[in-house]
Amino acid sequence: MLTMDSGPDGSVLLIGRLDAAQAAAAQAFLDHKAGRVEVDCSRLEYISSAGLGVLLKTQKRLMASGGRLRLRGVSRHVHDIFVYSGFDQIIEIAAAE
Amino acid sequence: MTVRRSFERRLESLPETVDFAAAALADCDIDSEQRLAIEFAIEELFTNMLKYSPTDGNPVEIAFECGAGNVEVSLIYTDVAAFDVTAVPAADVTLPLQQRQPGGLGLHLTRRLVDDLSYEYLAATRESHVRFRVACRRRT
Repeated sequence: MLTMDSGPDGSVLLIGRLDAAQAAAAQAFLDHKAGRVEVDCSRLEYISSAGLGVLLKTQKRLMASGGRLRLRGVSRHVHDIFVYSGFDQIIEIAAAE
Repeated sequence: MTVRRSFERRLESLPETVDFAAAALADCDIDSEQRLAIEFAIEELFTNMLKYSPTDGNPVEIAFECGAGNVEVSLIYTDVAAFDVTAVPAADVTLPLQQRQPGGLGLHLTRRLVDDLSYEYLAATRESHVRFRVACRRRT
Protein backbone atom coordinates (compact mmCIF):
# COMPACT_ATOMS: atom_id res chain seq x y z
CA MET A 1 0.00 0.00 0.00
CA LEU A 2 1.28 3.44 -0.90
CA THR A 3 -0.12 6.78 0.15
CA MET A 4 0.96 9.93 -1.66
CA ASP A 5 0.29 13.41 -0.47
CA SER A 6 1.60 16.93 -0.66
CA GLY A 7 3.13 18.37 2.50
CA PRO A 8 2.54 21.91 3.79
CA ASP A 9 5.91 22.97 2.39
CA GLY A 10 5.00 21.66 -1.05
CA SER A 11 7.01 18.51 -0.67
CA VAL A 12 5.73 15.13 -1.76
CA LEU A 13 5.07 12.58 0.96
CA LEU A 14 5.49 8.93 0.06
CA ILE A 15 4.14 6.62 2.74
CA GLY A 16 4.30 2.83 2.59
CA ARG A 17 5.57 0.69 -0.26
CA LEU A 18 6.52 1.88 -3.72
CA ASP A 19 6.35 -1.45 -5.52
CA ALA A 20 5.20 -2.72 -8.89
CA ALA A 21 1.58 -2.74 -7.80
CA GLN A 22 1.76 0.96 -6.87
CA ALA A 23 4.11 2.26 -9.54
CA ALA A 24 1.46 3.45 -11.99
CA ALA A 25 -0.36 5.45 -9.32
CA ALA A 26 2.89 6.97 -8.08
CA GLN A 27 3.88 7.92 -11.61
CA ALA A 28 0.52 9.57 -12.23
CA PHE A 29 0.90 11.56 -9.00
CA LEU A 30 4.45 12.70 -9.75
CA ASP A 31 3.61 13.54 -13.35
CA HIS A 32 1.71 16.56 -12.00
CA LYS A 33 4.76 17.96 -10.22
CA ALA A 34 7.12 20.49 -11.76
CA GLY A 35 10.27 22.37 -10.86
CA ARG A 36 12.33 21.41 -7.84
CA VAL A 37 10.44 18.64 -6.13
CA GLU A 38 11.35 17.58 -2.61
CA VAL A 39 10.23 14.06 -1.72
CA ASP A 40 9.86 13.14 1.94
CA CYS A 41 10.79 9.46 2.15
CA SER A 42 10.83 9.24 5.94
CA ARG A 43 7.77 6.97 5.88
CA LEU A 44 8.65 5.12 2.70
CA GLU A 45 9.31 1.60 3.94
CA TYR A 46 10.20 -0.12 0.72
CA ILE A 47 11.06 0.51 -2.90
CA SER A 48 11.51 -1.98 -5.72
CA SER A 49 12.88 -1.60 -9.23
CA ALA A 50 9.44 -0.51 -10.38
CA GLY A 51 9.62 2.35 -7.91
CA LEU A 52 13.09 3.24 -9.13
CA GLY A 53 11.66 3.44 -12.62
CA VAL A 54 9.08 5.95 -11.42
CA LEU A 55 11.75 8.15 -9.87
CA LEU A 56 13.98 7.85 -12.94
CA LYS A 57 11.22 8.93 -15.33
CA THR A 58 10.32 11.80 -13.04
CA GLN A 59 13.90 12.98 -12.65
CA LYS A 60 14.43 12.91 -16.41
CA ARG A 61 11.27 14.89 -17.06
CA LEU A 62 12.01 17.46 -14.37
CA MET A 63 15.61 17.98 -15.38
CA ALA A 64 14.60 18.48 -19.00
CA SER A 65 12.79 21.62 -17.86
CA GLY A 66 15.32 22.83 -15.31
CA GLY A 67 13.89 21.13 -12.24
CA ARG A 68 14.99 18.14 -10.26
CA LEU A 69 14.10 15.69 -7.52
CA ARG A 70 15.54 15.82 -4.04
CA LEU A 71 14.88 12.98 -1.60
CA ARG A 72 15.02 13.33 2.14
CA GLY A 73 14.47 11.07 5.14
CA VAL A 74 15.57 7.97 3.27
CA SER A 75 15.64 4.77 5.35
CA ARG A 76 18.62 2.45 5.41
CA HIS A 77 16.95 -0.15 3.18
CA VAL A 78 15.82 2.40 0.62
CA HIS A 79 19.22 4.08 0.72
CA ASP A 80 20.91 0.74 0.06
CA ILE A 81 18.71 0.24 -2.99
CA PHE A 82 19.66 3.68 -4.27
CA VAL A 83 23.36 3.01 -3.77
CA TYR A 84 23.30 -0.46 -5.34
CA SER A 85 21.44 0.90 -8.37
CA GLY A 86 23.62 4.00 -8.71
CA PHE A 87 20.61 6.22 -8.14
CA ASP A 88 22.50 8.07 -5.43
CA GLN A 89 24.59 9.48 -8.31
CA ILE A 90 21.68 10.71 -10.41
CA ILE A 91 19.19 11.88 -7.77
CA GLU A 92 20.10 14.13 -4.85
CA ILE A 93 19.58 12.44 -1.49
CA ALA A 94 19.71 14.69 1.53
CA ALA A 95 21.98 13.50 4.30
CA ALA A 96 20.21 11.94 7.27
CA GLU A 97 19.43 14.47 9.99
CA MET B 1 9.52 -26.14 8.70
CA THR B 2 8.49 -25.26 5.16
CA VAL B 3 5.46 -23.15 4.44
CA ARG B 4 4.18 -22.78 0.91
CA ARG B 5 1.36 -21.12 -0.92
CA SER B 6 0.27 -20.58 -4.50
CA PHE B 7 -0.56 -17.24 -6.06
CA GLU B 8 -2.40 -16.30 -9.19
CA ARG B 9 -0.08 -15.20 -11.96
CA ARG B 10 -0.99 -11.53 -12.04
CA LEU B 11 0.33 -8.29 -10.66
CA GLU B 12 -2.60 -7.97 -8.30
CA SER B 13 -1.25 -10.94 -6.36
CA LEU B 14 1.78 -8.97 -5.25
CA PRO B 15 0.30 -7.64 -1.98
CA GLU B 16 -0.73 -11.19 -1.08
CA THR B 17 2.86 -12.36 -1.51
CA VAL B 18 3.98 -9.61 0.87
CA ASP B 19 1.43 -10.69 3.48
CA PHE B 20 2.45 -14.31 3.05
CA ALA B 21 6.13 -13.44 3.45
CA ALA B 22 5.40 -11.49 6.61
CA ALA B 23 3.52 -14.42 8.10
CA ALA B 24 6.11 -16.96 7.00
CA LEU B 25 8.99 -14.94 8.43
CA ALA B 26 7.26 -13.97 11.66
CA ASP B 27 9.04 -16.61 13.69
CA CYS B 28 12.38 -16.42 11.90
CA ASP B 29 15.29 -14.78 13.66
CA ILE B 30 15.75 -12.23 10.93
CA ASP B 31 16.17 -8.47 11.01
CA SER B 32 14.04 -5.91 9.23
CA GLU B 33 16.61 -5.20 6.52
CA GLN B 34 16.80 -8.87 5.60
CA ARG B 35 13.02 -9.13 5.62
CA LEU B 36 12.83 -6.27 3.12
CA ALA B 37 15.56 -7.87 1.01
CA ILE B 38 13.53 -11.08 0.83
CA GLU B 39 10.39 -9.16 -0.09
CA PHE B 40 12.38 -7.31 -2.74
CA ALA B 41 13.70 -10.52 -4.28
CA ILE B 42 10.26 -12.12 -4.32
CA GLU B 43 8.72 -9.10 -6.00
CA GLU B 44 11.43 -8.88 -8.64
CA LEU B 45 11.35 -12.61 -9.40
CA PHE B 46 7.54 -12.67 -9.44
CA THR B 47 7.17 -9.63 -11.71
CA ASN B 48 10.00 -10.85 -13.94
CA MET B 49 8.06 -14.04 -14.48
CA LEU B 50 4.93 -12.03 -15.31
CA LYS B 51 6.89 -10.06 -17.88
CA TYR B 52 8.12 -13.10 -19.76
CA SER B 53 5.28 -15.59 -19.32
CA PRO B 54 1.56 -15.51 -19.95
CA THR B 55 -0.38 -14.12 -17.01
CA ASP B 56 -3.23 -16.58 -17.34
CA GLY B 57 -1.11 -19.62 -16.66
CA ASN B 58 -0.77 -21.86 -13.65
CA PRO B 59 -0.31 -20.34 -10.21
CA VAL B 60 3.14 -19.56 -8.86
CA GLU B 61 4.18 -21.40 -5.73
CA ILE B 62 6.28 -19.61 -3.16
CA ALA B 63 7.84 -21.54 -0.30
CA PHE B 64 9.79 -20.46 2.77
CA GLU B 65 11.99 -22.59 4.94
CA CYS B 66 13.33 -20.95 8.05
CA GLY B 67 16.22 -23.07 9.24
CA ALA B 68 19.11 -22.66 11.61
CA GLY B 69 20.83 -19.53 10.44
CA ASN B 70 19.17 -19.32 7.04
CA VAL B 71 15.94 -18.52 5.30
CA GLU B 72 15.52 -20.32 2.00
CA VAL B 73 12.92 -19.15 -0.47
CA SER B 74 11.80 -20.87 -3.63
CA LEU B 75 9.48 -19.82 -6.42
CA ILE B 76 8.14 -22.45 -8.78
CA TYR B 77 6.50 -21.51 -12.05
CA THR B 78 4.86 -24.14 -14.19
CA ASP B 79 3.99 -23.99 -17.87
CA VAL B 80 6.64 -21.39 -18.64
CA ALA B 81 9.52 -21.08 -21.05
CA ALA B 82 13.01 -21.24 -19.60
CA PHE B 83 14.43 -17.95 -18.37
CA ASP B 84 17.59 -18.24 -16.34
CA VAL B 85 17.46 -15.34 -13.91
CA THR B 86 21.07 -15.99 -12.90
CA ALA B 87 22.33 -15.49 -16.46
CA VAL B 88 21.01 -11.97 -16.99
CA PRO B 89 23.93 -9.57 -17.49
CA ALA B 90 24.64 -7.14 -14.69
CA ALA B 91 23.18 -3.68 -15.15
CA ASP B 92 25.55 -0.76 -15.65
CA VAL B 93 24.73 1.34 -12.60
CA THR B 94 27.35 3.95 -13.47
CA LEU B 95 25.52 5.38 -16.47
CA PRO B 96 24.61 9.05 -16.28
CA LEU B 97 20.97 10.05 -16.06
CA GLN B 98 20.67 10.79 -19.78
CA GLN B 99 21.64 7.23 -20.67
CA ARG B 100 19.48 5.53 -18.07
CA GLN B 101 16.31 3.76 -19.08
CA PRO B 102 13.72 2.27 -16.72
CA GLY B 103 14.06 -1.48 -16.27
CA GLY B 104 16.89 -3.93 -15.99
CA LEU B 105 17.65 -3.31 -12.33
CA GLY B 106 15.41 -5.83 -10.60
CA LEU B 107 17.47 -8.97 -11.06
CA HIS B 108 20.70 -7.01 -10.69
CA LEU B 109 19.60 -5.77 -7.28
CA THR B 110 18.20 -9.14 -6.29
CA ARG B 111 21.60 -10.73 -6.83
CA ARG B 112 23.10 -8.00 -4.67
CA LEU B 113 20.63 -8.49 -1.82
CA VAL B 114 20.37 -12.26 -1.47
CA ASP B 115 22.74 -15.22 -1.35
CA ASP B 116 22.97 -18.25 -3.58
CA LEU B 117 20.41 -17.33 -6.19
CA SER B 118 19.94 -20.43 -8.33
CA TYR B 119 17.82 -21.48 -11.26
CA GLU B 120 16.71 -24.84 -12.60
CA TYR B 121 14.44 -25.59 -15.53
CA LEU B 122 12.62 -28.88 -15.94
CA ALA B 123 11.85 -29.08 -19.63
CA ALA B 124 9.60 -32.12 -19.33
CA THR B 125 7.14 -30.26 -17.13
CA ARG B 126 8.06 -26.73 -18.27
CA GLU B 127 8.85 -25.79 -14.69
CA SER B 128 11.17 -23.04 -13.56
CA HIS B 129 12.56 -23.34 -10.04
CA VAL B 130 14.22 -20.26 -8.57
CA ARG B 131 15.78 -20.43 -5.14
CA PHE B 132 17.70 -18.07 -2.93
CA ARG B 133 18.95 -17.92 0.60
CA VAL B 134 19.42 -15.20 3.17
CA ALA B 135 21.64 -15.76 6.18
CA CYS B 136 19.86 -14.71 9.34
CA ARG B 137 21.02 -11.82 11.46
CA ARG B 138 19.53 -10.93 14.78
CA ARG B 139 16.38 -8.86 14.72
CA THR B 140 16.75 -5.10 14.94
